[in-house]
Amino acid sequence: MNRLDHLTRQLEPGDGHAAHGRRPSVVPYVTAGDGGWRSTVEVLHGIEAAGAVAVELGMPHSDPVADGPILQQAAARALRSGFSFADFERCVAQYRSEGGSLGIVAFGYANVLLEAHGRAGLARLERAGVDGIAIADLPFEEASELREAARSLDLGTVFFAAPNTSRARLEALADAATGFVYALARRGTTGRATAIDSTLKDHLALVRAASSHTLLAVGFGLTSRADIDRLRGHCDLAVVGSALVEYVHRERAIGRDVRTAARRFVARLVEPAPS
Amino acid sequence: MTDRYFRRSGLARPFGGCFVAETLVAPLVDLERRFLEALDDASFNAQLDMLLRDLAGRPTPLLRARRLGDALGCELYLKREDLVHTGAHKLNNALGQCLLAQRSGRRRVLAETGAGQHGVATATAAAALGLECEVHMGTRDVERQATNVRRMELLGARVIATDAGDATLKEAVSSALRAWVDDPDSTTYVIGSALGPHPYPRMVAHFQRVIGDEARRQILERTGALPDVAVACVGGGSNAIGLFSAFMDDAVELVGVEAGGEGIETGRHAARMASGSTGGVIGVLHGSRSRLLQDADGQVRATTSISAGLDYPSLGPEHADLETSGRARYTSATDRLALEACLELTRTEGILPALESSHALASVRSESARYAGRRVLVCLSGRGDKDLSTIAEHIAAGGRHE
Ligand SMILES: Cc1ncc(COP(=O)(O)O)c(C=O)c1O
Repeated sequence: MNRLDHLTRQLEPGDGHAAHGRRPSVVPYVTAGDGGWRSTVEVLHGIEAAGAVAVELGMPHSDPVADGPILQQAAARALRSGFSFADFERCVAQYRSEGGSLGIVAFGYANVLLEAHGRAGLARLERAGVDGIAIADLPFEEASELREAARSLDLGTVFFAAPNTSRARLEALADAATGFVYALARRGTTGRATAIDSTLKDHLALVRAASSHTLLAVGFGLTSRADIDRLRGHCDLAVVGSALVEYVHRERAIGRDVRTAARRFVARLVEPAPS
Repeated sequence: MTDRYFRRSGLARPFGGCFVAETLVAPLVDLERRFLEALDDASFNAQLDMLLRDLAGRPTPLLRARRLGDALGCELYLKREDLVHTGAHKLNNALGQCLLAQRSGRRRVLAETGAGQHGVATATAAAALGLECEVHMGTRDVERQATNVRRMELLGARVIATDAGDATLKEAVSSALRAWVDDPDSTTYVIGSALGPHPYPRMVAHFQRVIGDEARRQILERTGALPDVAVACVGGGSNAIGLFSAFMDDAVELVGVEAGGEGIETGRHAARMASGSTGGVIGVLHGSRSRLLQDADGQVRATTSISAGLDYPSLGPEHADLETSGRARYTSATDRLALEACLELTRTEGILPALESSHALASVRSESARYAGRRVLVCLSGRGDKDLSTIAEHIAAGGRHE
């Protein structure tokens, strides 16, 4: 049991779910500190107001090798403004103190989420109100320290399944994941559009079969309401990152309120298209 | 298979490892398998030996540098990697990795480059082996190393410039990794130094070991004895690990020389180990855990060096391990001292060395008292033609090198 379990309770995982053909729940990704820490708190409130139940909150890194240009630039903007690990904590703590209840998965790279501050850093995140940890460049075989710390801190862990992950590894990484399994919708970095086709659906079926006890998230290149609709019955969670980050950034640049911008963008994704 | 890969991936803990996006795990496991098979494959080794001899021009000579040695008061030997085809040791490794890619049926290779030497080497190996080649390079290095960009293009490579971050070697590696993750099946990443996730550090050390093996044999033949000291510059650490590997079990002092930039005390340098308490602490960058110049939050710090090839915030995990165990010692040389050493070698021995290699010479000059009367082997990793404009600019700006 860990702090991400409320997600599991809300969205029963597994075949039962998929068989009901339920539409996946939208999990927005935002880069923390883009526009300043207060802006991030506002964005979190906007996402919650739109009806999402969880968010992936990205800790910016100077060298985000798994990210495409949009998230690279968002991280660079955040770091240029001096955004630190302590600011990340402060964002989450402030959002919680203002009554925010989204499930929060801290998302980032091994060097900033694990190496630099170690177990003490994870404890700080947990105290601030983080529920789970996802590290893009940490195969589960390298994650024994994370898994141990997460267990004792009650944090959920997320591991990734790629289109070229072997079946044996799928099972092992699903066993290691106490939060959810994050299936990468395609090869490559974040941001570029993804075709939701039979290849992806077959991949998701394989991942689902190996991980029936955990929630299954899909992400990389999802941008629209139609994308989410097309994933109906194939996964529990759908992550939308670059498209949201870019939208909020543009709105901010022309002086618009970011809470409203985030709410509006996410609300459109959360609502199924009229049939 | 994957389990065994991960068990082998760590050097002495905590260094090494495999910190990559899930999409790269399967290609790396596959690469390791192909590399381990090639190690014992007589036909692979025969083909590589032939390429090293007939295309690269190996073995390279060992020069007794009498005039410079006399000036410094030591018995100085230079391993002439500047005479390798394309002008640096980089081709040893590029040929090994490209041959492996070709024999595994890959169509295309990717490389990163800082000074442009690894880019040129990979473009050359790719041309010779009929592979497509794409070289990633920071826009700042594209400017500093314009001649090498033109060479790569003539060799048929596509040069992809990236202007992210500092637009130097670090960003080039990130850019190449992103391109690989886009197309991991028909493409192989040919990394240019002893960096990256397992098995790269081990594989690059293997392909560069020819430097040390030849030098060891040559100096024994020439003098009947081993050197007292073996010195090499350390960017990512490939020429150094190639030299060191052959002397690991001998009573030979191993010295790696990092880029001291404008001086350690200015904070503007690329000395991950030689900068003491202000320097690199343990961290993960580009797939492995090593020493890394970073801030308290794990954000990577900017580096400064006159040498594009040394301008990188981390270094190969094997060097971090050798430093920790005390088997090798790491020091640094500033831009200014490297430049002076470069000019001195040119005038005393008639060899214009690469600015990277000049750092190794500079440290021998700075520590000449320590080396007095001893037999010193320096890896002259490359030639300096690519650096002509940088050298000219610094002379013009500094004035003092007449
Ligand atoms: C001539 C020369 N020497 C040394 C280096 C540094 O690389 P390494 O430390 O991998 O030998 C470079 C890198 O570009 C180079 O061109």
